[in-house]
Amino acid sequence: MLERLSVRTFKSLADVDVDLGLVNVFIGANGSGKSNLLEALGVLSAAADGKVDDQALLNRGVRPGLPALYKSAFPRAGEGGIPPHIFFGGYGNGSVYEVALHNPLDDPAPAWRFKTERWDYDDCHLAGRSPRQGDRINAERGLAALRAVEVGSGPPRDFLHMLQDYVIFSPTTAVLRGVAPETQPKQPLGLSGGRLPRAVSDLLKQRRRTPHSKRVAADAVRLLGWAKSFGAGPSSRMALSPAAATSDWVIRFRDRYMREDRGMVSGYDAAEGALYVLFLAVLAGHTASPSLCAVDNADHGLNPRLARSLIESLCRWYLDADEERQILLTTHNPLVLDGLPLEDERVRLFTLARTNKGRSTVRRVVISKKLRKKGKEGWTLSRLWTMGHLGGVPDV
Amino acid sequence: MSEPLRIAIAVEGSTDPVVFRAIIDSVLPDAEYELQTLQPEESVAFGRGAGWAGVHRWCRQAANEGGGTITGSSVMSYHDVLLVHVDADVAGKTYAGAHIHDPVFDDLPCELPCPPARDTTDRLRMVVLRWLGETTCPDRVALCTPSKNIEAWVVAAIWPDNPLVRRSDWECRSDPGAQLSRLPKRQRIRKTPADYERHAGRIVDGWRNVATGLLEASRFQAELAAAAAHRL
Repeated sequence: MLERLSVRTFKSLADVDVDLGLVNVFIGANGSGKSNLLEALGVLSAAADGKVDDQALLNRGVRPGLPALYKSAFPRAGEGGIPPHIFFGGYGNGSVYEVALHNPLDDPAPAWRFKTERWDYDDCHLAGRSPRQGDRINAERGLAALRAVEVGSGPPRDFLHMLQDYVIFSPTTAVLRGVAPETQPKQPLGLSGGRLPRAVSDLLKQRRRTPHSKRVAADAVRLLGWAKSFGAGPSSRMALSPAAATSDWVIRFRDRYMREDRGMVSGYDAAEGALYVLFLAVLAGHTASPSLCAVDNADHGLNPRLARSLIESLCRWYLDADEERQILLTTHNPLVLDGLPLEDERVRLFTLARTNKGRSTVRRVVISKKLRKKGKEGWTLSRLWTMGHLGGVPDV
Repeated sequence: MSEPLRIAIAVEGSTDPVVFRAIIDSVLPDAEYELQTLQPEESVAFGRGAGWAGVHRWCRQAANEGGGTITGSSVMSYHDVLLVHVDADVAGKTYAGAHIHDPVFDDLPCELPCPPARDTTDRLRMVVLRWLGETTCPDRVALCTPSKNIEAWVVAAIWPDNPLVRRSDWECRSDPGAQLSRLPKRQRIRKTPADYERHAGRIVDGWRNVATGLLEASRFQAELAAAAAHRL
């Protein structure tokens, strides 16, 4: 598990340390730095995998950027201008992976160069480099990724693999429906939600041998409400308009309010919220889902009450999973906060804000006894958030 | 790197956060801070409490949430400083006029002859404290009651040579903001957040004179500095 993420001088994240749980929800005004934080972890992931270039970043759902965009540039910082490098650190289960990356502002190279790198496990130094080593080692290649081949299986390699596999999902309705192509295909799901029908089919098959997948699938049906069941199959067997651009497979729902022989609805025609529910269900329940991932705007297309129930279910799915999995989510839907079991240390809520000097701050919302008492009096986190009491709302 | 100060503000209008940022930049020049505006729960469909009525509604809701006092509110748990802004011309208003039908006390209007401005602002501060469920101003809270309204401070900051500003009764003029439209064309400021933002630097630069010359500005500056010094 990634217990701590450290970021220095990356975009609006001048100096940020975040202590993570298994389910981590980030709220804040637009532009407060939520996506930057998810992307910082994406850059760390690419570095852990050995190369930080546009392709490696796009593969992880990170917007590739020139050094001028990546390096923090705070006009009021008074710290001598734009820093020479960007720094990222990931810590957990006794493992440390840190990297400082360099790319000149005036003549950027396609790949970032590794200035320093450190991969440690407990007291054992597994790989590293310092600027003193100069050009003796290819500076565009991470040493940890190379060394991982020699390191036997165990906690440090698992930790590095977890970092390497990290991706940011930004599901979109058109891709989930199958009417727009996936630009970043992955197993089991593309970063925009592509391949959802196949992944849903996998999940339903996995129910037979994995109780966790069975629980997730059953919960997903309950969340859908209007659908009695869901599945996936070849599009040729579904009632679809020929004008609809479809993939070879589609999701199908059985509408509980329609006649049995006419009640099948395809993912193309279904309410979009249902597709987002299935997307998160697959992410939590599919055996091949990444052990560490993020979903930007996880509440997309969801009715507030559904969003609350879905996040509550998602927390349960992640907390009860057979294998430890970790997720980072951003949301703008207040009711998501009311679905978070924050009394469990493994579920964490963070607010992001920008200071007068431009840098982003990340603060954990800890539920004190006093706040718990307010809950008993009828107050909710969603109300307190929208009033501004927790921070993380815009000045509009 | 030290933790930024967390400042929450309950203000009357959309240009006010710009003014407060400028004042904070001047009073606490080295501070790094996050500014969070506060708003009551309300729906336009049910009638929104604009201006001071919105501040009143937020104060009442927050005090209610705090078990009767603002000190107990979650806003004080998640912020280091709370600024509550109500223009002094509110002292001449009635609750009924703002469609507030359930005031805690029937303590408006509370206006007294001006000058001196302080007689009225002292009474208005007691009114605001009652909205907050308090009898005295708590630590980490600063009340801001510019007389007659906050534009008196803005004009004084950016146009200190204006003859009206130099008069001793400047804080008693009912519409100080009208002076903004009398500025030379190139310096003129419209009452929009964008235009205020463009001129925020002039407010920062001119604030010291404002706090020296205007009693309410001086009081607010002292309370802001004291509240910030009490951070969590």
